[in-house]
Amino acid sequence: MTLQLKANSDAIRDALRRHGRYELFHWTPAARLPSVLEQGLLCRRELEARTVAYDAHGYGRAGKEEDFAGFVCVSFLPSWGMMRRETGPLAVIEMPSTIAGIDRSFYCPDNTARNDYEFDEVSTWTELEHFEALFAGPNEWKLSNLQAEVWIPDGIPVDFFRTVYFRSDEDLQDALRACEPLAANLPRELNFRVKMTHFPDPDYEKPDDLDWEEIPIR
Amino acid sequence: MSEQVVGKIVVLEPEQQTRRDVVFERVAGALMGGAIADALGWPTEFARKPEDLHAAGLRYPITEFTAWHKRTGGRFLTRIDNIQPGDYSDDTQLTLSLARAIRPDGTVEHEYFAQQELRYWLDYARGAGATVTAAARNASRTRSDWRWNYFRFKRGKHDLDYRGAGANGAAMRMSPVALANANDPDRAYVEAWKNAAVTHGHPRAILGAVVFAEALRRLLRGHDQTADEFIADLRRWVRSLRPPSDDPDVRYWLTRWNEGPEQFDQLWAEYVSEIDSMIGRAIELRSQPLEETYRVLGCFHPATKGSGTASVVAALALFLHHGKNFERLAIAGANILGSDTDTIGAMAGSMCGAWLGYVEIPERWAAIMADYSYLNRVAEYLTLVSMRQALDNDLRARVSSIPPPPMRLLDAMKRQDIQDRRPYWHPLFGTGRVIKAESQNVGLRQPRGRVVMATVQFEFGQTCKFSSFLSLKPPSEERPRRPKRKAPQMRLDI
Repeated sequence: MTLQLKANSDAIRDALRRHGRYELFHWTPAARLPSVLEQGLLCRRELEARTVAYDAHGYGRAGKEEDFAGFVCVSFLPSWGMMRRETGPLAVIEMPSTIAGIDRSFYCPDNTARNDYEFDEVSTWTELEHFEALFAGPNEWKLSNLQAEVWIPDGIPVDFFRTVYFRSDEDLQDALRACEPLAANLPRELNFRVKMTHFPDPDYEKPDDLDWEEIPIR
Repeated sequence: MSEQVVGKIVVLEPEQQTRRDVVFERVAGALMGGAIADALGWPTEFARKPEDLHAAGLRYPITEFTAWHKRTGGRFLTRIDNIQPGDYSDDTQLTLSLARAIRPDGTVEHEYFAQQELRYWLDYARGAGATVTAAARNASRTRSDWRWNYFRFKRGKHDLDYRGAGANGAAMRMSPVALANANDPDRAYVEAWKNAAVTHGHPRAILGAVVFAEALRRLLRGHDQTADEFIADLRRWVRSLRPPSDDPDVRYWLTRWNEGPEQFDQLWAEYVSEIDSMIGRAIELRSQPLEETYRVLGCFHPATKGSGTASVVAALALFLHHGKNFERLAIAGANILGSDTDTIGAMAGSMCGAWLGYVEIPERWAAIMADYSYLNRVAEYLTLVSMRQALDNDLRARVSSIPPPPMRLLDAMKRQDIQDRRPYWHPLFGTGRVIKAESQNVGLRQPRGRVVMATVQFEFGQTCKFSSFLSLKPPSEERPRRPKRKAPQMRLDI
């Protein structure tokens, strides 16, 4: 996997600093972690080429996932909405936000799965102005939408992984045992850490209709 | 909770209080606290009694920032340096220099620090000590090697060399290393050790630097210990100290050091036990006035006043006395006349700022500190480094290509052709504007030369005051040079 930076990657880097955003996240079922640590985060097309098993997700309209099969999705916040659908233990991988400067990456200010976005259009949003559209303002840390996404072509090598987060110590220890055979051969030191706030609350139930007056003010 | 390691996987403690603003609060407290205590203690650095302050336009005790003046340039070329309220001395200058040398992973670019920062610091140094000045001069030579920056220098009537340089000039600048490695004790230790060795070769200086860095690093972590537990833990750590000879740079340094008449390891053990007993004495004297602790530590004696170990222990004592109140600590530190008030104050101020957080630092002082915004930027960067989230060091100036000679600051200073409000270019600091230019004639009975001082506000955020001396005598009237004596010819014929 060869990585090349965009011609304007310095400008992207400056923008990241200006917005105070230093990390990007990708979540995966914890059971997939050994494979991810062995091969890196691979796009669907690459997984198929290497005959690596994966869980297929629906992605908006039928067949839309095929359009994005050459890219990996990362976001500034771990995507709780998608994670809620999973039942098993999960892992959230933290990477430096500078990967947004990899050549051909594109930026979507919202959840790309929405019907408003089609690959042919979104994949052309590769410039600084499109990147700036992810944020609420020119110097804002806040995102224009919490589901804003960055799409990286082909995949992300393990070298870029900094920390893997788990919901509980139990999940962490299970993952550690599963990853033990690979641990010595990782290209660099990697942190494992428990951080509950990266994961959706398992007991959370989305109310049908929010009644603001009934929510106590703490 | 002990750290769990499997191959290259390191299990970190569960993340709880690592919100960026919480860390920033303490890092900014440490940086601003150190700078304020330095600025407040600078006027009294060389005063032995209250009357000495009158000559500088000050009154004892010092309780607020005021404008004052300092005589510099020696006996024959005395000049007056007008110092504004909130101006800081070499302690904070070198702290900022070191911060600029810190990489995003918490290591220090020692070569850049030695050959760039130290080299150009000589032009704008304020209140610099003899050792650091000699080290900076030597480090700026083309062939110098930061790993063994051997030099000789004079202190009073004594000729000293690098191996004997045991002053507090290394410890005083060490806070960025501690702040950048708040969660990485091993890296903090090795980097503090190596950076101290760039300017000082004596175990006292290196020990002072690493102990200060470790004390500050521990205080950054929060209020989970009492003062007694903090000191007891620190002493246990001090007793276990060994030179970090696993590091190849340190190993090289030790080999070179041991080429001298003494063996470093023996001296190291001796001074580890010295600083441990000094901390013990400081604890015993906790109920006594601070002056008594300073006296026992040798902080009033000209020979030991600036010692690396004594200064750090004095700063610890000052922190233990007044650590609950930054204002009281800074004022107390500045008014113990006869001691190294700015350095001890700066170190204790950093510890207190880290402990209490920026919120406890009086705003009336912080607001008029020179380079307030830049200090905040440095704190922001070090916060990100400590959380290992920094992308790159953006504290350095972006230096454009070399402009024509009239725009070059150092050349213009040499020619004394400096104009107020005009932009100039500096090879390390980039573009800046002269915000104040002053000129003075100097000489004991009659003017012997002219000194021009220019305060330059650089675009990257720091303000520096440069000065240059130019003899008033035309070159022809200067003392004729002694002709070079010819070397005697060797006669080979018999």
